[in-house]
Amino acid sequence: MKLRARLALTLLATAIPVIAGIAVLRSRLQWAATEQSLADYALERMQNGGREACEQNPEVFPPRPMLRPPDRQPLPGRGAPLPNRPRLNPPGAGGGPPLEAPATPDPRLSGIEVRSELWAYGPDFHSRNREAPTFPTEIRAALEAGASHASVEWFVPTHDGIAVGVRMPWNEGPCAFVLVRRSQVDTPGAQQGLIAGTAVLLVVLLSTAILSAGPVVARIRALTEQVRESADSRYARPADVRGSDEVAELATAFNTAAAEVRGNLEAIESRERSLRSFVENTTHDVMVPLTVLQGHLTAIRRRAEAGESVERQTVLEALQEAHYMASLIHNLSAVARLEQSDVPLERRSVDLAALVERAVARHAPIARARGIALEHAIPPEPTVTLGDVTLIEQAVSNLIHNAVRYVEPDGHVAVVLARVGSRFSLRVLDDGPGITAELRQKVFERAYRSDAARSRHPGGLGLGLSIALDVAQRHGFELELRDPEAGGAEFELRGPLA
Amino acid sequence: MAPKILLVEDDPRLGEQIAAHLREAGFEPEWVTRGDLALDAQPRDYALVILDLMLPGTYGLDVLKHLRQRSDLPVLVLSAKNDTATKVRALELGADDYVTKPFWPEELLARVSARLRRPGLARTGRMQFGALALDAESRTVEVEGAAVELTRVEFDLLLALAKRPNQALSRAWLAENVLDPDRDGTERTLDVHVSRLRKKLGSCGALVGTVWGVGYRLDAKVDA
Repeated sequence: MKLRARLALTLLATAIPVIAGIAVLRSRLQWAATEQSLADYALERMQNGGREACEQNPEVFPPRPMLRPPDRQPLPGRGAPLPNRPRLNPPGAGGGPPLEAPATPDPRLSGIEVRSELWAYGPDFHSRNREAPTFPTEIRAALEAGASHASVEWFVPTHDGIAVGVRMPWNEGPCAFVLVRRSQVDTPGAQQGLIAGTAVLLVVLLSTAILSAGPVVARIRALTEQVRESADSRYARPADVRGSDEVAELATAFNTAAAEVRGNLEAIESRERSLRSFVENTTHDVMVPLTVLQGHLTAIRRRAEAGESVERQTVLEALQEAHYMASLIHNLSAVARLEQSDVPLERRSVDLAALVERAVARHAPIARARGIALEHAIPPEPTVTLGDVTLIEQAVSNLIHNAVRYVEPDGHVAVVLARVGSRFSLRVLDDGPGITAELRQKVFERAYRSDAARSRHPGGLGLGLSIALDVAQRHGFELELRDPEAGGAEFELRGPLA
Repeated sequence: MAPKILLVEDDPRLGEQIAAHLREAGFEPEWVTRGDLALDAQPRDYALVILDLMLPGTYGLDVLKHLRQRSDLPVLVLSAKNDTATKVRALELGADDYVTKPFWPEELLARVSARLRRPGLARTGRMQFGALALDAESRTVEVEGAAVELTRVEFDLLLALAKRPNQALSRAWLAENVLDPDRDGTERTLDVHVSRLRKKLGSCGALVGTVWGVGYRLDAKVDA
């Protein structure tokens, strides 16, 4: 439902019962006022000569002149305008004064015919005047119950009026009770006037509501349009915030939400971009060793088909390419994990002795094939730290892999795990050519860059060591590169024991 | 008798290859391709289980859970998913070790042998390494049946190495755990003790090997 329609409906739903309630209340008050005034009138009339006239000639009381032709005195119907309080007649001689019409008839009341009657009754509620109507039983009951006066509606054809029974203070004789009846022709004018007034009031209220809703509706529509445009522009364009009302607050809230959405969109897009470039780089990085491997395998097949003995070196290189590829893929997945800086690191118990044995076992076949002695030592005591076992293992594996790759045949690589107080020390040392100052700077002084994966020469060394360093830093471990006096290289990873 | 190994691997080529390598290494592999078949296996028939975690039918971890409820048979898990959560879960469920794909056949065999070696068993009493016999309780050493007199440090050194034959111990660990800390506890002193020990062991002196960059090791076929 539209805002205006809802507003109008709400207004009608609240206004109509209120108007009706007021009308009912007013009609009741009017009724009570009319009853009181008629009772006052009857008492005063009877006290000022009426009683004497009645007691003298109860059979003909009230005398004829008292039954007046209908005058123009108004009588309240339900919802009719408040009548003027009827003026009480001054005491008159003889048959008593007639009911008096208002001094100046209200022009609004024209068309309303009024007829008034007054009848006297004995204590038994019977009139000596034969023309008198039967005393209404409801009034009789109320008076017998002790009321000084009571009223009922008086229905006669084309007339709608009020009948008031009044107890006289003397309480005896043929006029102990008086019944005053007053009628009015229920002309449609009064009701129509009421309905028209109510309708005018409602129309005024409705138009006020709808008119005042107009600018609000217009602002909401404008904001809706802006929100649509903002969504079309991928939330780059904010909505205008004008004024300081609720619509402006809504616009501000939308802008905040849009900024959030825009931020998330950008983050997702940037992640998607880096993922795409990661996949592209990975594909490239894996394709190169795979091609080399295919070349080696082809050479081996050719030799085998020719019945020649396969060159040991070719087989070794094929093995190394396959090994390199496996390590590269592990490293790339480690990079992917390390780049998720928003994902907290696993902090589980890591059995470093088992980890060292696994990492050494991974590279032992290649080391053996290259004629390199890959040795390791683990302390007999449990050596456990906290961290992500996959990442730490990949870091250690990279250190071993690099040593195994660059040590000359007949060289040595040693992996030594030790407990030093409350910390562990994991050393990977070799008697190879050592790490050049240039590479050391590259690895240790520069943050990892994804294109490091591309620099295959020297053989992805940069990538593996960068990952090792990154893993150490993420765990709060220290990774130190030493230049032993005896030559070669020595890496030491240190961290707390669990 | 060759140790029987239950291999649960769904990939036909990889399964066949692993089974062949195990057989070649002197094991007796029994290869099943489905996890639910592994559930029916009698654990006491086997010395070790090689379990691929990515299995059709039953998830590898469920097989592991089921196995663990019935026995403490060593389980070596094969995983292509190199993610920490799966490994940690497998270890929590009682896997003894894992090998991540891709792996070298030698790598897998090394892990299998390491598991079957039952490490951590405290060696006490008499130990024999070829011609070298050593008694931890009486603290005596014999080479080719003849008693050899060793100093306290030399005997402790030999005992430490003999407790973990074929595994190197670092010089730092040996210096800290074998040498008398009140006297000269440096690694150079250790080297001197080792060299004296080798001389005293005579023909068995070569069993005490130097491991480059690490320390020392008792190179021996275990005849305990």
